[in-house]
Amino acid sequence: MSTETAIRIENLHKHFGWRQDKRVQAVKNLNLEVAVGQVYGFLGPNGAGKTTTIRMLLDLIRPSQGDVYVFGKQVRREREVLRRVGSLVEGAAFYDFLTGRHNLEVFALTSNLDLPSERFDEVLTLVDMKDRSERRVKGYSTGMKQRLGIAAAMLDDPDLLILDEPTNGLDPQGMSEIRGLVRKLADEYGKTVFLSSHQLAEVEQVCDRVAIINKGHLLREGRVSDLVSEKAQFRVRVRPRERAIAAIDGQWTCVPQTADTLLIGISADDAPIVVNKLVDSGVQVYEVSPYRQTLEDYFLSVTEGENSHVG
Amino acid sequence: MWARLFRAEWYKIQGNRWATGCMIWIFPALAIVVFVLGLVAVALSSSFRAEFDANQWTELAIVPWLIPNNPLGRGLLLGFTAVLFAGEYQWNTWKTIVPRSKRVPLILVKFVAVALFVVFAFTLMSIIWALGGGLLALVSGTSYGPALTSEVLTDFAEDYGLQMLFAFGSTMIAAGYASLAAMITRSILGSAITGIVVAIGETMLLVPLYLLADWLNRDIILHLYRFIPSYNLLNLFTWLGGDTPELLTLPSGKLIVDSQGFSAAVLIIWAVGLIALTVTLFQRQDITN
Repeated sequence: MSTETAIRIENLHKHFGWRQDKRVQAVKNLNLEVAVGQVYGFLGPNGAGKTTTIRMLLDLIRPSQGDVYVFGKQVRREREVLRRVGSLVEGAAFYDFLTGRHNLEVFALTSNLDLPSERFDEVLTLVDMKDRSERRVKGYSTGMKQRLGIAAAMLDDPDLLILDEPTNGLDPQGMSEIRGLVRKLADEYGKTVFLSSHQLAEVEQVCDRVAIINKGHLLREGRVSDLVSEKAQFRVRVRPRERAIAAIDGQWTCVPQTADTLLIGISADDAPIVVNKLVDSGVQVYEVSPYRQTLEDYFLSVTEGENSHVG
Repeated sequence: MWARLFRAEWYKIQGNRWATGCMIWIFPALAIVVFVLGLVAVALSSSFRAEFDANQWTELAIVPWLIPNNPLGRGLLLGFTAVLFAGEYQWNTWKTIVPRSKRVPLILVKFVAVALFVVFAFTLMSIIWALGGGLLALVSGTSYGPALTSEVLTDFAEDYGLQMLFAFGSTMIAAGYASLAAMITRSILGSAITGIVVAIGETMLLVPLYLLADWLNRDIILHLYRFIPSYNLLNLFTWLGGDTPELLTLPSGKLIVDSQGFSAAVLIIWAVGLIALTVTLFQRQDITN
């Protein structure tokens, strides 16, 4: 994998509103780097600033402060670099009165592209929309529009794809197809994909690295595998549960799961120490097993931690 | 690049049949309907045939170009412009288009599209109107104006060109209002209504300005009206029609006479100014929807 940078975001800030007292800070001091050839997940709860960041990447909105670089070029000063970028932002939008194919033709023309008819067939086939491309978009479902949006983003085979919630409205089969397509674009064609999604299981399967943002600033960034193993946890079945909580409280993080199980944040080296402490406290230990955290668990722990900290 | 951008606009305008049909093609369609009805009346009614008096073709061909200055015609053209400009906001399509293209050509090509469509539609209407009048004259056996001599054709071309230019200027100012309103309201309806209110409002500005000038006993207030597009359009129109100006009477009784050059300059400044303002706003605007 290349170490060339596809996206670099430096000290990015964006606020909306003129009046100081009504100003909304959407993005605060965001710094990110995405290497060429990566599938990069961009996560955050609703209103975290993901779409605002993506819009600044695409020069749709101006940063209040900071810079965005795509393939080493500052987007605001050398925006022709965006010709190497295909995008789908916050739900696909089309001219409802035109057919799917005509929409693609309009987008090609406005991008100053003179594409052969076969290219439209190719991208439509890739997203399984060729048969329905002669119908007006007015009659399309959300999933069909998403597919067409992805086709529009890939029209001239861009080096970087920025996809904001690309699987919204798709059925499980469609979601799986798009996941496969995204991975294939990176693995076989060396494309970079910057993917914002709420589908954390999907992100975990498809992304090399992720960034988690909340309230406009970066909470965590790293390889998916590193993040999910960052907090090693063990599932412990004990009785009585309350006595076990009292025994370990304050030394390790402990989250009750069921009436007799706890999730304890400890490394494998610390597991025997915890078990001894529980036994010494008169707690009966029935089972101790390593618990593999999912990206969703990790995401919730860092965003909820942030929310409770701020609140 | 411009040719491709224009082709894209053409696709959109052609595809949006309802809007284009109701606000652009309605004019040539109306011409066809009027002459079909005229033909039926001439063919079926001998009394209508006897009383029918076709206008001269030199006049008939020019009549359609009066429509852009008529409130209804202006309203429809404003509506069409609103669809073209505000549609991109309402359909959320800017976010797909803007990253891959420069903003200035994207917005300027819309003005070109409005201008070309209006010129095309009214030229078509003018041809239908003139040919239809000729057919009616032929059927009813009435005279249809002067023969095609070089002198007649030269005079006609001059009148036709001036009227066309006048309608074009008026349309571009209306387009400027609607496009500016589109930037601000980001909705087709909002843009159309704001455009119409401003376009009609400026023609009615004379009354409050006159009353204020009279009340404060200051003629200078009414001088503001001299810089309003509708007054200058009317002044230019009156000059072109009969070599006389549109007289503006001040509360003190003094008459203001503005030359054709003055009015033409004011109109050009308005048209260029509105377009430049729209382009500047669009360049700096955050596309948030």
